[in-house]
Amino acid sequence: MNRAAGPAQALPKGEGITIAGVSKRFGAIVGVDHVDLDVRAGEFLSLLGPSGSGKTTLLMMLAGFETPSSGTIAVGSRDLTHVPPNKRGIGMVFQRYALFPHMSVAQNIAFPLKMRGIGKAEAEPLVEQALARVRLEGYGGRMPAQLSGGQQQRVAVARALVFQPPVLLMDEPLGALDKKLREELQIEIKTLHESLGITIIYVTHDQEEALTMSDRIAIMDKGRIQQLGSPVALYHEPENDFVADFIGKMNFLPGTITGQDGERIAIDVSGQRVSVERSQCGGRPHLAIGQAVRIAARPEGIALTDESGDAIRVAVETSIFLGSHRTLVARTADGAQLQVQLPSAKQDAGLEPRGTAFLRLDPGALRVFAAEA
Amino acid sequence: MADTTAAGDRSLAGQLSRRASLALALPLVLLLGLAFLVPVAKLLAGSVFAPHPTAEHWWRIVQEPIFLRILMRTVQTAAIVTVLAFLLGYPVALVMSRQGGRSAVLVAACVLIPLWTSVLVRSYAWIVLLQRTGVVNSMLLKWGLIDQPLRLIYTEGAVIVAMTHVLLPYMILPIFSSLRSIPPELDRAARNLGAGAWTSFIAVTLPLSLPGVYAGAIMVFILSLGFYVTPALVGGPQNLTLATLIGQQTTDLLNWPFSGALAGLLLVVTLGLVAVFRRVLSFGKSM
Repeated sequence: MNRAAGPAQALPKGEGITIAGVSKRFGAIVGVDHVDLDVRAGEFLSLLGPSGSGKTTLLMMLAGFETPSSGTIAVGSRDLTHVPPNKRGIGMVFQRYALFPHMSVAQNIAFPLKMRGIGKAEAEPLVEQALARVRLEGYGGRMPAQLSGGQQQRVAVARALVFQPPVLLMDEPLGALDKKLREELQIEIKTLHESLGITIIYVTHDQEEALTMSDRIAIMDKGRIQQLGSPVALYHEPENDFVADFIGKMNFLPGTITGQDGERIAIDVSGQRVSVERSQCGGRPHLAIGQAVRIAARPEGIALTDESGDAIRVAVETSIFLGSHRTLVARTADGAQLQVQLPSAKQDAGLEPRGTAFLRLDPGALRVFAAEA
Repeated sequence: MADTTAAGDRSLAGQLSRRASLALALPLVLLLGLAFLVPVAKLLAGSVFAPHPTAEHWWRIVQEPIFLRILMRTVQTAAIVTVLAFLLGYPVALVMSRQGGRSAVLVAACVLIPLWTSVLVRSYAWIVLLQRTGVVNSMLLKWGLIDQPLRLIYTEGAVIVAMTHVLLPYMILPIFSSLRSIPPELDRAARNLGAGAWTSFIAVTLPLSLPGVYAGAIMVFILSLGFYVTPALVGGPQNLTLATLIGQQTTDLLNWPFSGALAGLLLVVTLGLVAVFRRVLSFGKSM
């Protein structure tokens, strides 16, 4: 293909999305509950949550397949709340490819062009370009059924991008593929996103996928956005225990506040006294001396110690060697189970099952939440 | 069970040995052979050996134009009934395929209960509706729309309407099942890519449901060609179809050799038209 000869194709520019006070009720069930979300132009934003969290319903409202019960949705400066799906000009990739089985790959990709009244002669080079973009040159004449799952999804991506939409919606696009292919396509989608400057809303229930691909992630549960932030912020500064638990591995320990001043809070956690900054509190836990709180600590934020004073005494349950590190599973006197990530060493450091060990939390890496009611 | 095929094959046929499957099919094969093939063969043979080899009966069909006219009318009626059943049945199948829960059951019942009702009952129902003093005529008279009762029963129109009604489920069910097998996100994808609801239907849903349309059309067409009960009751003696003609020849005139020739003609025409049908529509199978 001679790209230099053709007219230079203007790269589609991403547009921002404004979701304001959007709710969706199905009878008595609230699918999406007062969601406000501003997506920046050109951003890769993931909607991450367990099934039934409302992330797919929100995406369906963006695509126009569901109408919000209240609230508004705008892309760029256009209010799309009541615009039918075919007038939105938003690209979409479905979980199960949704290629038209009675049309060839080229016909599938040409479909949105045909719908826009673009003639055959004009459409052909665009289809070629779209195929090249997903590394499927020469596959135009095949039928979808003749392609592998990964190839089919690449065709679906090409079809969704060929009409240069400012926004691309992706509904668990890699959910039906095996792990290796998934990782391959993750990189491909990420590369496409960077080269096109398009805004992508990516729905997934796979936190790893969301963490590796997104600029920002909106974590959803019970129809609400629980937290919106960068992968780093979500991992290190979860605002509530749902987010803390949902992203990565997290240990929860009971603690009691023993003192506080304007900046710091002193907490007793199963025998270790830690001092944390007020900014480490997620949500707004009630802070008073004697108040019970819930402490969240990542496996890598806990270390073994030899001293028995000012440390958490645990009963070792098992220790698993994982190559680059070792995971120690232990239980505190309160009955809380902990997973601790230890550096990999040749020696086992005397961690015998049913033995006793002492652990120390890294106070700077803790999060403090209100105790469960 | 020595013959069990690959472990992935979970169909019943895969679990039974070849011999066991054949043994299970044997009763039906015997019944068909004795109660269907033998009489048909005898009937057909009777048309050319009666008792000596003769082409007399077949020759009569060609010679007397009335019989070819009846044949043409039979084919024409079957074609009209097929087209009407498609036009009426497709929307019903579409509605059925897009319903969920309670309303799906309701629509399905509306289609299936007539199917479970005897053809005889449904044909007599049309007589009740269409006869001189029937429901339709008395309504029209009462509303002052007509002065004289219309002649509705024993017309070709009555045959077509009644046959379409009786055969409609055979059109609806295959279309329904092929519509149901189309993933709903295909319509969504088409809408998302810029197609309006109607365009999406024409470009995606309709082409993908064609296998069901072909199956339904072939079924209705074949059944119409040989349909006896409804044309006999609603059409009366003036509107003979090939099947009612054969009935007349066997039961009233006891002319078995000639009805054998007519039956042979119907069989040949049916098989021939089905073959043409399949050939013309075979492009649809390439999907």
